[in-house]
Amino acid sequence: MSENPADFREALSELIELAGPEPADHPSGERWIAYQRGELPAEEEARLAEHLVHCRDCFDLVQAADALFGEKSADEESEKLASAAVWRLLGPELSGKTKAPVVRARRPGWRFRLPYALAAALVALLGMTAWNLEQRSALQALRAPRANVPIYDFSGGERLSEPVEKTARPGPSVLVFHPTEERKVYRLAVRDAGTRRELSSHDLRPNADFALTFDLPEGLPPGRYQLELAEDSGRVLETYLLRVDATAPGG
Amino acid sequence: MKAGESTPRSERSGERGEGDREALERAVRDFKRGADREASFALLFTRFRPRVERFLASRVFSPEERLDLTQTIFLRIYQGLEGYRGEGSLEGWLLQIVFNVYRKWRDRQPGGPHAVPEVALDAHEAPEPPTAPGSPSAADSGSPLDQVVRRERLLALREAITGLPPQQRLCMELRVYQERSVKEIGVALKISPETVKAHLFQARQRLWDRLHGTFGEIEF
Repeated sequence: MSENPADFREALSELIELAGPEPADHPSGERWIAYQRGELPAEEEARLAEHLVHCRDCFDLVQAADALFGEKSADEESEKLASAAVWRLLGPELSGKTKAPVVRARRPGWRFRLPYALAAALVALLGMTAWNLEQRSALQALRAPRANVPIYDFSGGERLSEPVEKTARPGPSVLVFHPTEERKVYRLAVRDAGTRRELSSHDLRPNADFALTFDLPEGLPPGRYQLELAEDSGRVLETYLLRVDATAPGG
Repeated sequence: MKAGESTPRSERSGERGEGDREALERAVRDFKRGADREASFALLFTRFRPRVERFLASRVFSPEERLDLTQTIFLRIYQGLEGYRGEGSLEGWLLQIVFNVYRKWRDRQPGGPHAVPEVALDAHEAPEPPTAPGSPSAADSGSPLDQVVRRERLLALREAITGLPPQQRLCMELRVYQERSVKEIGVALKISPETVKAHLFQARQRLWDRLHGTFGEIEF
């Protein structure tokens, strides 16, 4: 009997390899979009799912199809607004320097159109570069290190019935949550612990380690707070207590 | 429908709707005609930029590289729209551009296009796995007895896997062979991550019941 845990993985990989090499006939992008939307007959869907086991390219393609044409994410509308704002910077760069082609009965030959196409590409490149530079500077500003920002960890299972109150100092801080139950999106409600009045709420998405990071650049004013972590439907999953106290020792 | 399974996309696609696709196709036609190119491309840009960034977010760790790739993708779309003939669907065309730019970047990364080591088809050419104390030594692996044992293990594994329900088997194969995350497997098989975890757990249990005498540990 083999005691090496890698043996099972190796044997399974070998078995899959023996079933056949990576297939050469790959379904088109359109088929994968149809697959993602559930528009294919059951037999073809099963065949495509099998194909994914052997084909890394198609696996990535189906991930892209889902991201591009799948369900809307919760914050997509706000992201679209951000995109529109970026476009307001980029658009004039493109349109101001690109002449719209005149519609003719006969299209001119490619030799005639080539300079226009090159000019358009150049302008687009310049515009994109300007946008990129702006985004980079914004990113750098966001990523600029802030000295000694305390981080407070909240692990799942610390429920109100067993109150574990964390103490923080006023000022910038970062709250990191490690919920027990995994969800795509969480809603964090910050309440006054005394009155239970909701002060603010935020959508949080877990990172690769299923941790949720909540940045408080301004911090919270002194007081006692109840932090409620809920799922999309509103069901509260975890509750934590946080006391912000100016006299507390530094975190 | 079983609990935890996702709603078929065909039922949900109504959210985006035909109107959505038509608006995009109209924007492309306007762009090609030269009628208000800025507004036409703006529609594509605002519609797809968040989604392109969503796709890249879990794959490209450097924010700078993500920005570069997003820029390259929209530049390619801008350049390509002029020559887009509408022979396939617009969505298929956009998907191919996004994927090609991503693949080109991915293939340049250390480890290359397939970071997972390939397993040689020929058993004699396969690299020897590290041997644990007490297990047969590397020198024995080529002996006729060892080959028989190995073949027996493969046959037992094949038989056990054949007995798994298709979804459990696919989840396990994608997890072990492709080394994909639970979330990615869920997307590929159109089921929730929780369902993937349940399938993996059940597959592990079933395989353990049948193979614990053959493989000391079954981990994935």
